[in-house]
Amino acid sequence: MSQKERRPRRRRRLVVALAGITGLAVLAACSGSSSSGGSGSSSTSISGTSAADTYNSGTPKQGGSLTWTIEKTMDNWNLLSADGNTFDYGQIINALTPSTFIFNPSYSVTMNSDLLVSATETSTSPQTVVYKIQPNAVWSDGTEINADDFVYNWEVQNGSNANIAAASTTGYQNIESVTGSDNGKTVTTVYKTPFSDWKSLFTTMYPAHIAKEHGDNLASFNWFQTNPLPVSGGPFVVSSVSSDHTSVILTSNPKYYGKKPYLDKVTFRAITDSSQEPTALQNKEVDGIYPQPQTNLVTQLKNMGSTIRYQIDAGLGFEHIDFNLKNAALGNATWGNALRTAMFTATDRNAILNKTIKQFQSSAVPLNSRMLVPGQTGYQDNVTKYGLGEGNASSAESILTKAGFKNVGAGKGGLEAPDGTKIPTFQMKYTVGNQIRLDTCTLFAAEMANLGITVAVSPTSNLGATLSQSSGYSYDIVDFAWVNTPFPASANQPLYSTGGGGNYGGYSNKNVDAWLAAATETSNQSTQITNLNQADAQISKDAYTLPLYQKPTLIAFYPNLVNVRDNVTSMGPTYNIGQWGMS
Amino acid sequence: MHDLPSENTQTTGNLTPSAGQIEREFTVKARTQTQLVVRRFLQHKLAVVSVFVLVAIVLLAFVGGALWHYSYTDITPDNSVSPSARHPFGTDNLGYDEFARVMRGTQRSLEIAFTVAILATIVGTVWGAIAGYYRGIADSAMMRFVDLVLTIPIIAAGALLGHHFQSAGWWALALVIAGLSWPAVSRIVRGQTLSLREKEYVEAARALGAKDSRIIFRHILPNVIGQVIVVVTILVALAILTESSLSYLGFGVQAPDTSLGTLIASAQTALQGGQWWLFYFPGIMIILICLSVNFIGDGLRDAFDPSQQRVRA
Amino acid sequence: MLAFAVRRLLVSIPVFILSTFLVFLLVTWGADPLAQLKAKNPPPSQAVIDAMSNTLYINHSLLERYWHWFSQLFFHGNWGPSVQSGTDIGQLLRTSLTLTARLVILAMILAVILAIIAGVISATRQYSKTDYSITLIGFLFLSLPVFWFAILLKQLVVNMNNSLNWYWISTYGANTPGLTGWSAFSDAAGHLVLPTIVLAMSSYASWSRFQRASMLDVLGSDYMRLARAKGLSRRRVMVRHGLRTALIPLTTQVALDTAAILGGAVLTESVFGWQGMGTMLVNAINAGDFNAVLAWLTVAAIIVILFNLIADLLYGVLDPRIRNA
Repeated sequence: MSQKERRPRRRRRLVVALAGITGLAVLAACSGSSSSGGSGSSSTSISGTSAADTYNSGTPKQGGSLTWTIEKTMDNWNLLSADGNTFDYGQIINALTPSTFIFNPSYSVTMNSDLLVSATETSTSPQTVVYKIQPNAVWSDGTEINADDFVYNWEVQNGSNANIAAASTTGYQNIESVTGSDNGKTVTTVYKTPFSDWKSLFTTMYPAHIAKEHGDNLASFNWFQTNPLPVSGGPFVVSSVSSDHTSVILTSNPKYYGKKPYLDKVTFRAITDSSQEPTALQNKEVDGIYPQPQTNLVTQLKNMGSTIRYQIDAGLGFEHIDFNLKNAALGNATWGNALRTAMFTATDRNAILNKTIKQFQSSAVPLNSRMLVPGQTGYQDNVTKYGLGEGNASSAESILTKAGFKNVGAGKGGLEAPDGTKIPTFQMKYTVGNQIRLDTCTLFAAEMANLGITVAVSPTSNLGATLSQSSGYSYDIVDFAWVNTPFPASANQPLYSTGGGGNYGGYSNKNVDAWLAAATETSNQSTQITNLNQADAQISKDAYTLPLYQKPTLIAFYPNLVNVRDNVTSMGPTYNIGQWGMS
Repeated sequence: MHDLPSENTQTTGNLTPSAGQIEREFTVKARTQTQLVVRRFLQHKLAVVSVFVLVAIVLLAFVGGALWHYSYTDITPDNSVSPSARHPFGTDNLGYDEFARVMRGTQRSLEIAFTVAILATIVGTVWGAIAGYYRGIADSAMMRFVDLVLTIPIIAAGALLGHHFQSAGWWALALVIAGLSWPAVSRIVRGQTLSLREKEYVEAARALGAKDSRIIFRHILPNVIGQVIVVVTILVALAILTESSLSYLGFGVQAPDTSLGTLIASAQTALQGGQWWLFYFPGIMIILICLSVNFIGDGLRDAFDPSQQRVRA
Repeated sequence: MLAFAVRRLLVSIPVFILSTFLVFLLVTWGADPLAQLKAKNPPPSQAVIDAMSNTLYINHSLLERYWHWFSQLFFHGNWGPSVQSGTDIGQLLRTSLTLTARLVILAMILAVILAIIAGVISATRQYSKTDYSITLIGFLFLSLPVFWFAILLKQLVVNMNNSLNWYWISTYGANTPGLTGWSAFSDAAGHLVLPTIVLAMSSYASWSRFQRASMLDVLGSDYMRLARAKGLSRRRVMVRHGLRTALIPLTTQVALDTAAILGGAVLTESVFGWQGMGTMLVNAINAGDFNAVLAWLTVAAIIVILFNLIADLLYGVLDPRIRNA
């Protein structure tokens, strides 16, 4: 046991250990240096165009299985409930429940012909819609899909039972009656007040015959929250759910009445931290992901080259900056409008885009409407037309000077209102951890500083509470997002009407109230659009909010997947899960 | 053998001002003792190098920001550029100069770490000294409380309170971490006090009619300083790592304020996305601080307690 | 020995009860269980908030609330309602604990073995190059932010997997759903690799330092010199006399470090999407889930107290001086 013999061996081991550590650093550093784009990958948005409906289309082979990623653990199975109404849950529920209409990636809304023979508005006074259900449409236990299901889904969502915590009662509360005929295969709905977006109703319907087994409407509604659907009216059925709710396995529904799904099995896995999704994809732990895009995330996908395919689209959600008119300065009756207009005039949305989403979506452009997005009928510029959002500092200064403001500009001791009031420091809020919003607020604050206005940026861990101001006045300026739907009238009315549910900043304009109400009630699309645009233009003149850009969406998957495509509507990519397959 | 450490650190001259004759006698002896400690510390080369590294980092953090040509709030026109002469640590996608951000983050992290170290040391030392000096019921009660606090994982309680006091700023975070880390100090000080209070010079002081508070603060505490200084170094490293961990989980320092942990948390994906500079530099800064602090602690331990040197088996 | 064990166990009970009270105070102070409800949009009516307060028993005095919680838990085995939808705290605890235990136990075994090897080598070769490099690596791991190291390691492994085109080591979660038999076992092992290494490394660093110090202590003692003088072989002295004695302090230290290991698990789980205690805690805090955080901290306290007890008992078993006293 001589020591001299042992020494060198030790040293070698040490060298190996050190090489291991330094190699770690070098290898990881190299991983991001290549920059070739994947074949078929694109960051040019196609959402809202007809190309979006046929992206990656083809005829897959029968059979196969894949793993799709959701971002929340599957804790609630009732998409109709306030607690369960979550995009990620919807991705699974889409495969299990029948919907009367499908919201397509092109924003078109088409009847689900697997489920329905027809759906027609037979009268406008009172508004009456008649659905004819396919005779072979059944739940996976063989029970027919019929009028009972429509009745149940209406009853739990019409607000008649205050104890049922439905996510939304919009539309359903306008319905007077739902009646079945023709052995339940024809359903007639009669409205007490007109509802132009009736096609948005009766999506993801829950089975009435299962509900009956679990008590009254309230009891069954709650039962659906905690229990995986025992039957399915969609192309797949639930096969198993892991005890920690992190994965759900669906298998092909043998009783499906439409076209037989191509895949035998779809596994949904929850990855709750979006920054870990590309790594899981790269490590082949999942076959596809649908995260919020960020610069680094997209670069990582780009670096994977042609092994994966990704698409970035402009979504229906849009970021915007809102003023709180309850602030004494911002809401001032005589000079508040000039102040707000000047602030939004000085806001350079292109600069914000360049520093944020344009770094991974070079084709991104500012959004010029609060009501509609490009691709929707009737989209028009209601923002730059009024000089807002173009970073025109000199024009902003002249607005202020003309209105009688003093100390206009940076370093003059702070802006003063015409009546001598010192403009206070404004508190600007964004969601904690949202880097893009922080960046946006930071840039906005820098631009306001050039006018002599101080904006203090700070995060809120509870955006909902900050906006609703349930525990007192809590923001002056805020940056957050609204999600548009293919049904712009009913979605926008509460946001800008006096006292509306989402009108957090306290905006009030009688004309806007009237235009928005008219848009919701009419069934004539062009009247609806005219009204929406009138309201939108008025809000720009009042400089209440400034739309920034459409939130980009990102889908990434392995190229052997067929018919998998982005759908930026609330239905999401699994809207056509029955057609998904392997090449 | 077990008494060695306390004998070696019996007095540390400049901290015990000479009041009476007895004390002066000790002071003379103590000066050589201090010199011994310093000389032993200087023998620990890594510890000496670490002192220079740490001083350099502290200067960089507290003075560097003022001298650098970008402020941490400046949005430069260079988005996501890799390190260059102009931006030695590169920039992020907004155009922030990462070097300025790292200096600022280091400053915040060090502020938290020093606050934690000072608070936890003061509370822990006083708590431990009182418990050890009075023994009996006071000791049991005080040390059981310490046991209780130690049953709570620091990250868990830190996350809970950090989440709740998020809006209060960095000092709230420092208070939380300090509130959870002082018990470790108090245990060590109590152990030392228990043996010190039996020493002849303490009995002599007591016989001369010195009050308890005087004995504790004049005679006992100065003599546990060796151990305490070593603990302080561990506390600094621990506080830096705890702060960065809590910030990573989203319960620590919040943007727009920044710390080393916050910088890494926001650069989690940067490594995968190719912006390696955003991930490595703040991480390396944490490692540098903790490494040098740990080495200094090691050097101090060797200097105060040479019993583990030169062992031949 | 048995009497000693029973006495220590009895002392632990009041400590545990006091500890639950401290934890209760901490959570009442640090979590608002109504925050999420109030944040709902549109805001819920006062009646809904009142009903929720009633369910959560929060409209009572602190002591009443504590007693209610304590009696529910210890007399009825009920952890209380959760504010996270679809969550049963008892069940969540069981699944989380099982997963975390798998990770923590493996990591502890790995860390202890590595620490003993490194500590012994370091101590027997004090001031050699080997000692310096082991010390250096130990200090490096002591100074590494756990999550930073984890992210780095993960990216490295993914790159390795891609170049080898072999995907055994996974980066997210504890298993791939839907596997059975051998493939399920192999898959679970593949998921364990990275989190185990990361968690083990954070403990390894301090334990190897600790083992080195206690080994040096023993090596310097008189009985070691005596054993050598008796003519026993170096190896025999090392293992029979040196290592055995030097392991006693490490055993205690490992048991005492449980709280820190649980803390390390929170971070490790967060990086690797491990749905154990760490994930449970982070979710519960973010949701303001009073009862879930309370449950977490209570279980943590039980584990820590239990391990402290084990440390005491082990000390008695391993060290004859205490056993005979």
